[in-house]
Amino acid sequence: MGISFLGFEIAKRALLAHRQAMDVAGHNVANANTPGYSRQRANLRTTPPFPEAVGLNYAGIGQIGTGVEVAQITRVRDSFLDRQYWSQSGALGRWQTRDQVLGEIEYLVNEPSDYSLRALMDQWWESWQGLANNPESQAAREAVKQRALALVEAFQFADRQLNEMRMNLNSSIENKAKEINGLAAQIAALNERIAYVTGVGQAPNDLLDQREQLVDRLSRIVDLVTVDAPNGMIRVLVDGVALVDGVRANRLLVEADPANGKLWRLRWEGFSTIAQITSGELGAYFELRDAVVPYYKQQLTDLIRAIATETNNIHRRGADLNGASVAGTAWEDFFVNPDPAAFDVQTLAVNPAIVADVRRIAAAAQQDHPGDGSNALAISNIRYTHLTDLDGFNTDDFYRSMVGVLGAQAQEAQRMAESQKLLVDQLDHQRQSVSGVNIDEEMMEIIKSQHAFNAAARLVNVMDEMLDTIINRLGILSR
Amino acid sequence: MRITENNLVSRILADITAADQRRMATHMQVSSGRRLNRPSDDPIGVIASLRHRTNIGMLRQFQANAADARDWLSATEAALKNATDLIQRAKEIAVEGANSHLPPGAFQALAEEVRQLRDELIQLGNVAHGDRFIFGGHQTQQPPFDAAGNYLGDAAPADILREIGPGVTVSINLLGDQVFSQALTVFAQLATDLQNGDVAAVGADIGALEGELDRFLSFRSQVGAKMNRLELALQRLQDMELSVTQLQSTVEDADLAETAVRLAMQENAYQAALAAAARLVQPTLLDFLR
Repeated sequence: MGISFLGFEIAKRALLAHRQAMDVAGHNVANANTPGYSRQRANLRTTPPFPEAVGLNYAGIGQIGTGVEVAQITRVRDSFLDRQYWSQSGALGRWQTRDQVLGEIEYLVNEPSDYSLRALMDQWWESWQGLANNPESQAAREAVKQRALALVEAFQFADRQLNEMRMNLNSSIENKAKEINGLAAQIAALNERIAYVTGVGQAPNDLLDQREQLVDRLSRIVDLVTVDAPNGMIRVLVDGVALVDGVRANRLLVEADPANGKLWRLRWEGFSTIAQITSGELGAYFELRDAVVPYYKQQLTDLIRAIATETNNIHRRGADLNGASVAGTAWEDFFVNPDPAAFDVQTLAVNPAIVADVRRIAAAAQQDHPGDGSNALAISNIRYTHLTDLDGFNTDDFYRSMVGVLGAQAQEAQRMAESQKLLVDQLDHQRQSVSGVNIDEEMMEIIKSQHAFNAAARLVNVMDEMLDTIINRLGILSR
Repeated sequence: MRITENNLVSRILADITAADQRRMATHMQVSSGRRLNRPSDDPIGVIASLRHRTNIGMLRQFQANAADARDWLSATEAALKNATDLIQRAKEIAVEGANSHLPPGAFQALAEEVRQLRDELIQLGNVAHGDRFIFGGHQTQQPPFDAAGNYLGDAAPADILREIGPGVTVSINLLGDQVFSQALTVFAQLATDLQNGDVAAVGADIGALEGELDRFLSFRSQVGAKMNRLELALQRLQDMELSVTQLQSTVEDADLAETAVRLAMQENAYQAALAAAARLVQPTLLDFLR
């Protein structure tokens, strides 16, 4: 024996539930291309049966079903894959950044080519050979001068470029720190809204998607660990410090480091210790700024300093074209300011006295021997000499080993960035495979819901006809 | 694995991009003709390539040095040959003058001719190669002998060196003092003896002249040997340049045939990836629902 209007109620619930399921499928289709979106499902369940407890005052056939309802709209997401992704994403950021900056250094070095520092060094040594062959010749002397000017200028240019690169890396550190602060603030704000929605018993699906997307971006900049907190919130730990703790976000302060030429260093707000960030894009910027770029700058500085010092040592022993020994004159040094204690590539110059008069170049080993080019020959032979200033290498080997190190570093960065990208892409594919929208699937959902909806509508018709029979057709005899 | 729209699109895009990148890298090799375009392309190869490039520059410089040395020595050799002829001629005159039956005026004429020969010998000592005097040691800007035949140039050591290998030098000059001064003294003595009609002394001068001939001959063979050595060195340097250039090409250059074939293959792969993508992206269930 049923209740007269129960059928209507069941049909109404079915209509509502399937409408809602269709809306969810529609939401999925609408967000098929939304980055970070996780597909949602309307979880249907039966409503509580009637009566609640059998056997109190009803000795019927048992519980009667009362229809369907949407229990919850849930997000399809595998948080294990998220954690995997976040743990690998920082390494990708680090190697990609290294790859990019080392690539820039490679373009600066420009090897192998005929327009590089090596080519200029070759020409410089060859100009001294030319002078050794023609010590009386004004033209050969001019050639030495021009090669010297070009050499100094090229080393200064490379040095300036590397300095500029360091400054750019320095401002990147500042920008990345600000980006971290911005992301942390947004994550904290989302945490707050998520806690509120969770608190009133709802599922904050789209907010969770947004938050995880922010963590995706953050995980590229720096390695992080996430810990679940009450009410759906998360804590984000970076460098052992809670960057986001519930609704509160910590901040990285950017300040000048007096121990490192007033370049930026980072400190956690409220902490006295300096943040040690070695991972992700930000870690790579620190590494590049403080180790990689300075290494190449130092190698080039050592090289030109050795060339200048050795050239001066030999030049000083010689005699110029006027026949006099250059020792003690204003032009005894070929290069000025190659002071080994405080050497600076930027202030190095070819001796102005020599630039003014190339007869002052000391090509001869003996005084009053204008046809003697043996001192010039000795200078050109510096290139074969193994110099203690260059770790026992000669100038050519020293330069080549620097290029070799650069090639190896850049190649490693390329390969690591490539393989790490494959790994991260693979993890993202797995996430997409779980959470992404498949339109065919959603169409099936819609059609399923549509059929159920149609059937429920038909049920209303049938119930209506049944009641019509009872109300309008029964008892016609007494009218 | 469940395939989703984003999955499909990003995988297809990644595959096409990868195929495109490979194609572009090969294209760059074909168009530049080089396998190595930056150090990271092959760090070991680049080090070798840089060494070869530097070596080629040095080998060219050594060849220029050796050729310059050879020219200098052949100028020296020409002067020595002419000097030998002069001494030969002086010896003929001395033989003629060692004859007591000559009329008195003839001695003066012969003496005059010897003086002329001596002047010519001084000229030979002042021979220049280009704008440089070759017998004055490092004093290349002034004639090493004055009109009277006094040597004004450098005393030993005043070697002029040319580097023909790393740290390998040859000295290419002879000092005029060592070569000519003694001969000039003999010539002057001969002229005086002829002037005086001293037949016995002239006879002694013949011996001295023969000694000079021997000395010049030994200078000439010394110079000749050096020229031979330089010719060999030049030949060797040319061969080395050729082989280093080939080595550099092996390290640096792309194998054009192989690269072109690879490019064609990659073009195919790229087009296949595009065609496959076109087929994959199009149909959905929607196309089949009425």
